[in-house]
Amino acid sequence: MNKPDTPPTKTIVLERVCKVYRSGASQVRALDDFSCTIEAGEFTCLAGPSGSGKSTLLHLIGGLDVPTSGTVRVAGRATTHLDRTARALFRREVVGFVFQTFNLIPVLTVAENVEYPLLLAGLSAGERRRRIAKVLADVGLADLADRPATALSSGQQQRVAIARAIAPRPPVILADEPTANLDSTTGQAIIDLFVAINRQQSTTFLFSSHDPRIIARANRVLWLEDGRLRPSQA
Amino acid sequence: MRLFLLYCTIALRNIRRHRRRSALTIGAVAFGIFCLVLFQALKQGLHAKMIASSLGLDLGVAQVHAAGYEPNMAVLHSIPAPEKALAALTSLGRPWAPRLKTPALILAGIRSSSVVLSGIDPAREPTVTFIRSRLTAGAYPSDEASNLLIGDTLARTLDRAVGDTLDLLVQTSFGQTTTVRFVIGGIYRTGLASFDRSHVYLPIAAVRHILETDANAVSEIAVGGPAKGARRLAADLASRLPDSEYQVRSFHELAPDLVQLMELNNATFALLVGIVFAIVALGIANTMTTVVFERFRELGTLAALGTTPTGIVGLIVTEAALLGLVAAALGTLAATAAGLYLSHVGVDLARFTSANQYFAAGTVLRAVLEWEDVAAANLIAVGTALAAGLYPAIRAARLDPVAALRAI
Ligand SMILES: Nc1ncnc2c1ncn2[C@@H]1O[C@H](COP(=O)(O)OP(=O)(O)O)[C@@H](O)[C@H]1O
Ligand SMILES: [Mg+2]
Repeated sequence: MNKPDTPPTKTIVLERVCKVYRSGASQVRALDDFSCTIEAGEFTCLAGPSGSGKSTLLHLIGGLDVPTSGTVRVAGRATTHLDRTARALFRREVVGFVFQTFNLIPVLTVAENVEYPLLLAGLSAGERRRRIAKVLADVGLADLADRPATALSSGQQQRVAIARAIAPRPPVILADEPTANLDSTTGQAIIDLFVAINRQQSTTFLFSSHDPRIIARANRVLWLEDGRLRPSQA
Repeated sequence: MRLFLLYCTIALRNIRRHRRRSALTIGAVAFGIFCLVLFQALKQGLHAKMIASSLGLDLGVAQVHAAGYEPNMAVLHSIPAPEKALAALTSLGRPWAPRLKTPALILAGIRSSSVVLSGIDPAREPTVTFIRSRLTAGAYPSDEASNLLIGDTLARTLDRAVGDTLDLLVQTSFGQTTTVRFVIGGIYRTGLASFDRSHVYLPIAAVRHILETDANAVSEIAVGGPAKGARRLAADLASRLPDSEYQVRSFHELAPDLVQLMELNNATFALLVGIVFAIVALGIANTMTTVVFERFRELGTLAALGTTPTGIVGLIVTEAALLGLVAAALGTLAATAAGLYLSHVGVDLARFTSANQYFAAGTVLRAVLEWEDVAAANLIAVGTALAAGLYPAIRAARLDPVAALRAI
């Protein structure tokens, strides 16, 4: 494990990050010399049109991918030179993901879906049981613990996904368009839940959206355009 | 540990969820294991039958001869100090039968034919061979009467019956030829025409008398009992008898054709095992490749949640192994049932094959299920399933999680 070499308040630090996708002869600069810092406990929205690089940025911060150049540090750990296994362990310990399409494991129950990252974290059975009960209560699904995950409505599935993301208590939650597949009322309720968790546990939230009503809920908005921050912000 | 159980849960539920595909894969693999276990049991039964026939006809499990003895020797080769060999045999706790064998010519005009004349101990010989149980007329040789026992093919060829006489030309131990007339006391039938035509029996005392040998002359001692451990038995016996005077051979050396035939069977069977397991491997690899393709996004999600590449391999291999395990259980169950049935009822080979020396002891083939064979088949099956799951599993672990998550 690398030692924290940034002050703990600066949870996410990106320095001159480029991400270039090559497909055959053509190149796409998904992120172009991108730098920014996010403080611990911030509630930030990544806004921007489709193709502006929001997902790419979240994947880099989440250690799912590595930048073409530049450095990404999250909770004091740089992901650039980690191999696949080390990045998996980084994700396990540092980030919780919430996806646009919920991505629950269809054959597992609600409780089992939430238990999965807790098993990866190596928590004891008793601790797992307590955490599952706590987070399912937090997201308002305590009664549905033993239901098959896919038997739930979209909004409920996204709540399970949030419970799964927060259960191991990672310092950072990354959510890629978490409300895009939900109606606006349900979407607002999901953001309400984010806000509540952010207040109670001071978890750092970074979520992407191109819906103005969702963007408006953030404390801070990073506007992306063609892989850069909008000139007004940069 | 609990994580492994969760992988098992995921695997089992996915297997259940794709009922039809799982049933087809499991069915194919189970059928392969069924065939292997059952064929192996039938092969074991066949070999047991072949051995029992060859050994019970004449050979015995092992034989003791004088040093330097070779089959088809025209001159009598007596065992020196036979009582020494017999003492060694008695200490083994196996049945044994002394013999005085010599070539003889049956004089019957143009039907004259050469035979093997065996002088036997009427009480001991039936503990090694089954000829006594194959009498069709008259009686087995006894010490009281020096009567001849001949096969029914010979009797019919010569048109003789019990009570008729037969002239035998033999060479005495001194090298002179002599003709002796005997009364036919019994007729046997093994069903093996060539054997029945060429083997005739007398009490050993009568043969000693006509060959003018010592009163205790013996040319061969056959050892009875179960065929298992014949090689060890022969080695054990050889170690108790001086090499310079005796030679001990197990039936493997006495009947190399029998051993070769069984080896040929084993080799053919090994080829079948290879083919069946190639099919098992392909079936499972195919299913698991489909599984990895179908669950591309799910695997990406598991990776995003922090599952290491090793963990992904574990998940996929667990599912392959469970498929193999369920199939092995079903195949073994069916094969054991069929094997037990065939071990009681048997298959009558008389319908499939003409009479030969390997089925002289009976033509009904009974399956012989050995737990080692069943265990080996299962072990190889599950091992194959694991190995077959490994390739798709490694591919799954190498998937790019970002590509998996972007895939809709
Ligand atoms: N694997 C890839 N290969 C090539 N181009 C890609 C790949 N992934 C993303 N891109 C491109 O990178 C740019 C940014 O994509 P993305 O980060 O998904 O934007 P957003 O999430 O804001 O819609 C887009 O132009 C997209 O087409
Ligand atoms: Mg996107």
